[in-house]
Amino acid sequence: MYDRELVIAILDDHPMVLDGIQEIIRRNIANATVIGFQSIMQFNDFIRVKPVDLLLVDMFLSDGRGIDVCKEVKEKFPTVRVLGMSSALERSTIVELLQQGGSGFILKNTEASAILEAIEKVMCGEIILSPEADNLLNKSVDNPSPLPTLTRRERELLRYLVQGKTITEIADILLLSNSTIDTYFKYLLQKFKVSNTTELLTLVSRESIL
Amino acid sequence: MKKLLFQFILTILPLFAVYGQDTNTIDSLRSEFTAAKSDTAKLSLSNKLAREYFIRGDSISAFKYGYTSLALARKTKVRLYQAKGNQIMGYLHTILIHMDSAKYYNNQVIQILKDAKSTEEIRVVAYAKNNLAANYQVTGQLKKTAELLIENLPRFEKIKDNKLYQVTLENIAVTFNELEDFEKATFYLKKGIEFLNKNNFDAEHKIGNYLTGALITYGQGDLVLMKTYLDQVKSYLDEVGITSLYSGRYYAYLTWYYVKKKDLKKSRETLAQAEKSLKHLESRTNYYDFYNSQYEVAKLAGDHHGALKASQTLYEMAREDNRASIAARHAKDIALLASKLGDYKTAYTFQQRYSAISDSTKFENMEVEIHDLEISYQTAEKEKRIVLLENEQREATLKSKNQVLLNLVLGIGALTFLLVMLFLFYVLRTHKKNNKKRLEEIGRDQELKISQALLEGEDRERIRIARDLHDGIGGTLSGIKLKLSDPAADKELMVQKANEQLGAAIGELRRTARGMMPESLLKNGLETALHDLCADLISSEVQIEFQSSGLLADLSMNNTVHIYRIVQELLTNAIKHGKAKNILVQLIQEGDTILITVDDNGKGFDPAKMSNVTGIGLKNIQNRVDFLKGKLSIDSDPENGTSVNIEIYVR
Repeated sequence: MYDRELVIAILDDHPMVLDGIQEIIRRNIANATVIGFQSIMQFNDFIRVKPVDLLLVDMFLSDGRGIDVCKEVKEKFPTVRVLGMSSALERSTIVELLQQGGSGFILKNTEASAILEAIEKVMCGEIILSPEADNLLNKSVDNPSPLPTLTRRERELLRYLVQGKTITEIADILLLSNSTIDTYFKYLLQKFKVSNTTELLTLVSRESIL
Repeated sequence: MKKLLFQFILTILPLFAVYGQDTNTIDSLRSEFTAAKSDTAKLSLSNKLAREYFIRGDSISAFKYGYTSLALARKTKVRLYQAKGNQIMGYLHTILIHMDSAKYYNNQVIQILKDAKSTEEIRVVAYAKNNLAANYQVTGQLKKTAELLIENLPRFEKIKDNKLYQVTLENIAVTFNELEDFEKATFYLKKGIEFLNKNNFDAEHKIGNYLTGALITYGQGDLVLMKTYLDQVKSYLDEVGITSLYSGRYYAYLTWYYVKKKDLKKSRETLAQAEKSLKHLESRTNYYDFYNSQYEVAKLAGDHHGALKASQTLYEMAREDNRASIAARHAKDIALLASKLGDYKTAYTFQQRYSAISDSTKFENMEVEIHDLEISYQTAEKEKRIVLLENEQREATLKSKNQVLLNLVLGIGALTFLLVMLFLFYVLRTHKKNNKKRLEEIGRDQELKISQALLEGEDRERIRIARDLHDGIGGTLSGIKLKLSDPAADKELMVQKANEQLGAAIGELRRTARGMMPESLLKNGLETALHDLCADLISSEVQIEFQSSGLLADLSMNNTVHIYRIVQELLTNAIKHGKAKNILVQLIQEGDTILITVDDNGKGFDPAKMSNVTGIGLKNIQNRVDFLKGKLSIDSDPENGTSVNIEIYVR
C-alpha cells in the first residue's frame, strides 16, 4: 500500500479507543508500525528519538489539549502529519486544529473504513474532515451582510438617539442605568465602526437601518 | 636684663616724704595720742604712729595703729578722716605688697573723696592714686600705672606739692622705662631733673631722683650718664651721711655699674657697702637690690655657686611676694646656672617652672587687663542679664502655667469628645449590627430560595437528561438489539443497519453529554463555548448570529457556567418553543457588567400567559440571574418574537 514503512503514533487517554484504532490500522496497513500513547509526556519522549509519519491525536487529553500537541509537533517536526479526533464536535476546536497545521479531523464514531481512508488521504497531503465536522465548519455564527444585525434594544436606543435624546433621558425612559445605556451605545459605535453620535446617525439614515 | 623692679619704692617715697616731714619720736606721739580728745585728732596721731612703727620695722605695731585709725574713721562723719583711716591701711598694704588689700583701701580713699575740694582732700586722693598706681605696677598693669600717674600731676600742681609733683614725674619715667618706651621715659626723667634743679629740694629727695635716673640709664645701657647720676647721688649722700635711707640703693646701683665695667674688685667693695646699708632700712626692695647685686658680682667672678645662691634667694622672695614675672626671670637664671654646674635635675625643674610661670604670667597679665577694663561693664551687663533672665523665667513660668491650664482644658475637652464619640460609635455599631443581621437573614433566606430553585432546576435538568437517555439513546440501542436478535433477518443488511443506528446513538449521547457540561466551556472559556454552542445549533431551520464584545477570560467558573446555561436555555426556548428562524445572541462586557441579549423572530408569547414549559425554562433563567444578582427583562409579543435582556454583575 505504501512504498515504505510508516510510523503511526496514536495519542488517546482512553485505552479501549487506543486499542481499537491500533487494531484497525495493524490489520489494514501492511507496512505500518503503530504505537499507542496514553499521555502527551510519553509521546514527547518517543518522538524525540524516533521519527513519526502520522499522529492521530484526541482533542481532549487528560494532560492537555490535542491542539497544543499538534502545534508543538508541527513546530519541531513539520513533516509529521497530524490528524485530530474527538467524540465531541466543536466548531472552534476544529477551526483551531486546522489553523495549527492539523491535516484533518475525524469523529470517533467514524467507521473503520473512513478512518483508513482518512489516513490514506492525509498521507497523500490532503485535508480530511468527518462529514459532521465539514458541515459544522460551513455553519457560521457571523453575519454575512456588510451591516451589523441589531438587537431590539439597540434599535430602540437608536430611535431615541435619532429623536435627539441624551443617554440620561434614554436611560430614564428604558428604566435602565446610565452606564448600561452607555455600554450599549459604545457597542453600537463599535459595531458600525464609527467614532461619534453624528457619524452613527448619518450612517443610520443613509442606510435606512431603522 | 629687665630684672629691675625697684619702681615701687618710688611709690612709697611720696608717702614717706609726706609723713616724714614731721619726724616726731614714737614716745611723744603716743603721749599725744593718749591725750587727744577728738577722734579726728586721735586718728591723725594713730596714722603717724603706724607709719613710724612701720619705718622702724615693727609691722605688728604699725598694723595695730592702722586698725585703730580705721576704727576711728568709721566713727567719724568727716569724709577727710574717713579717707585718712583707709589711707594708712592702703599705705601699709602697698609696701607689704598685699595687692588685693592695698587696692581695696586705696580705692576706698578715692571713692570717699571722689569730689575732693580742699587742698588736704586733694592731697589724700593724690596719695591714694599714687599708691594705686604702684599697686598696678606690681601686678604688671603698667599702662594703668602710667595713666594714673599722669592724671595725678595736675593734683600735685594744684596743691603746690612740688616734691610729689617731681616724684610723680620720676615715677612716670620709670614706668615708661619698664614699658620700654625709652623716649617717653627719658622725656619725663629730664622733665623731673629740670624741675628738681629749678626748685629747692632737700638732699634726700634729690638722691631719690638721681637714683631713678641712674636706674633708667642703666636699663638703657647708658653707663656714662648713669655714672653722672650716681656721682650726683654720692655728693648728696655725703651731705646726709651713710645712714640715709637711700644708701642701700646707691651702693646696689654702683655695684651694677662696676659689674658692667667688669671691675670685680670695686664691685665687691660696693656690694659690701650695700650689705651694710641693709641695716639702715630693711625694706624688701633693698633686699631685692642687694641680692641682685650679689648675683651680678658672682656672675662676673665666674662664681656659679654664688650666683645660683643669689638667684635662688631672689626666686624665693619673688614667690613669697607673688611677683610672678620676677620669679620667672630668676627661675630661668637658676636653670642656666644649674646646668652649667652639671645639676641637670635642678636645671630641668627650674626650666619647667620658668615655662609654667611665664605662660601663666602672660595669661594672668592679659586676664587682669581685660578684667579691669571690662569688669564694671560686665557687671552692669550681668545685672541686666539677670533681670532679663528673671523676667524670662517669670514669663516662662506664667506661660507654662497657662499651658498646663490650656492643656488641661483641651485634655478634658478631648476626653469628653472621645467619650461621646465612643458612645455614638457603640450605639451606631449596635444598630448597624442589628440591621446587618436582619439584612443578612433576609439575604440568607433569599439565597436559600435561589439555591433551592437552582437545585430544583437541576433536578428538572436531570429528569430531562434521563428522559433523553431513555427515549433517545435507550430507544435506539433497544432497536438495534431487537434487530440483531432477529434470526430471520439478512445478516449483512442487519449489521449495516445496526451500524447506522449505533452511529446515531453515539451522536445522541454526544449531544446529551454536551447538554450536561460542554468540554470546550471548561477548556476554552465562555466566549468560545458560546460560539460553539451557537454554531452547533445552526441548522437548515435556524440561523444563529453570535456577537460579543470585551468578554474577559478571567470569569469565575461559577459565573461562566451560569451564563452558559442561561444562553443555552434561551436558545433552546427560541428554537424549540419559538420556532425562530433567526436568533441573535449578544454578550457585551464593560467593567464588571455583562449585558446578555438573545433576540429571536419566533412566535413570541405573552409573558403574562406563559405556557408551562416555557415558564419552567424561564424560571430556571430567572433563578440563575437572581443568583448572580442580575436583572432580567423579557420583551415578547407574538408578532415580533422575543427579546431577552439580562444584566449581570460578575465581581
